[in-house]
Amino acid sequence: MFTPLAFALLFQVTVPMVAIPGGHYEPLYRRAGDHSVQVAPFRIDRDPVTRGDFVEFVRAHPEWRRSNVRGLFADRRGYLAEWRNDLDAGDGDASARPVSGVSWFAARAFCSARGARLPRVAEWEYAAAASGTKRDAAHDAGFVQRLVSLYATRQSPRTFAFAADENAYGLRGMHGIGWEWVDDFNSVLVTSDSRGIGERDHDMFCASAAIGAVDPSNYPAFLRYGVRAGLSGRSTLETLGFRCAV
Amino acid sequence: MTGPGGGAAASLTLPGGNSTFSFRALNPGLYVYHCAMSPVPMHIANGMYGLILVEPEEGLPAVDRELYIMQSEFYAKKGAKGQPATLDMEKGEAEQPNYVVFNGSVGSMTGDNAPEVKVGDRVRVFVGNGGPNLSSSFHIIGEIFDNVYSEGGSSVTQHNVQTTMIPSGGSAIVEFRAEKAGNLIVVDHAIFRAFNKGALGMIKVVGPDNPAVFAPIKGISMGKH
Repeated sequence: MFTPLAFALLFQVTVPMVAIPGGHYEPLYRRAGDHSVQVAPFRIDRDPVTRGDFVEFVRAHPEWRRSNVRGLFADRRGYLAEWRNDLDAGDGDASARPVSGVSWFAARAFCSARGARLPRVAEWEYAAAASGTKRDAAHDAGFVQRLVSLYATRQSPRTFAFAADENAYGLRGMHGIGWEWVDDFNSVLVTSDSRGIGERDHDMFCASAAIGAVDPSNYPAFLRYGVRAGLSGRSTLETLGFRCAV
Repeated sequence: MTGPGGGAAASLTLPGGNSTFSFRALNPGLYVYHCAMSPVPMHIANGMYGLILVEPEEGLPAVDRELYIMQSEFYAKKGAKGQPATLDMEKGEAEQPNYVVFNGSVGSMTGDNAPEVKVGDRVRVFVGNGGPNLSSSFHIIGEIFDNVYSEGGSSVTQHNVQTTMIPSGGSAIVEFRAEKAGNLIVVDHAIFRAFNKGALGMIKVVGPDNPAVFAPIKGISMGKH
């Protein structure tokens, strides 16, 4: 059993982070007159958080074990649903695979226990706009097409073994595994009922999704924003994991 | 669905989840539905669409056979070995599909998959066009449509139609009597699509021949002068 402090130290030792220099990010959605978003320098995990990391976390924080987690903080039908039991993430190399089936609350608690936080949407998107060779490849048709194909065919985290899928910052598995939680996942607002009176209330849907968009050809970004719009803090998906930032 | 966004927000559902909403079918007609998940063109191009028929309160007039045909196109980028094809963004934006199909795949209604009707049957075909881009010049080789409910509305708008236009995200209801035994060929009469891209189907008409409708005239030979 780790004390929280020892636990945090352990992670800082074992999980490599990558320093991302600051810069500008053009969000997929912005209102008229909005400029690009300034992203301050930050550090982010090189790899997605693994099941093994998460086992250690729930060992130290029993309230996040599958049998204990509160329904308010995680959809219990999907929470760590692939695991054998509270502390057994599965066979063989299971502990090396990215963890998935965790809620935003749980991901947040994990990062917090490490003295870190979830990346913000602008940070995540900024870091994920890098192709293998170029830091800003958001408008690179070849990269966009590669992501469209990748999203349609990528392996589920259940079977995934880390591939050498490294972007220009040195981050691995940003796109090749599944979706990842961000701290402000619900910052693009979609009302739960389409009869709201806000003019942007169905921005994410149909062709109206393209109205406020900076780059209507960036289908992978639309997919990510669409998935985020469908999440709540307690959501769990087999295809949704996370990594931490500081 | 009637209302802003067509119920999009209420139907937003992620894998493994479910959503429930209620709506009132206010207008009779034949309608295309599709998911509203962003980006919609990708979802439609991958087959997320269908037809919903809202019958008028008194129902549609009785016929002998009703068939469902939905046209759509695929913009396929060949996958790596062992991987499925995925959406080709360039082809999609250029509106240049490599497949135009009925009911989701090449050959879905030819050969053993072809629906069968009997000579003398009154046949009603509910036809939809999922797109995502192309309009359809819907035509059945060997038949004239006795009735067309153009654009899938609730009344017969035209009689004796050879080819009817079906917009992307739209529909039509066509009716004919199967007068003669043999195979009727269903096509998008933008005919390269039928010949080269898959927009080809078949309806088998079985039963006694009906030479009064059509018969080759023996003894007259064309083209050997």
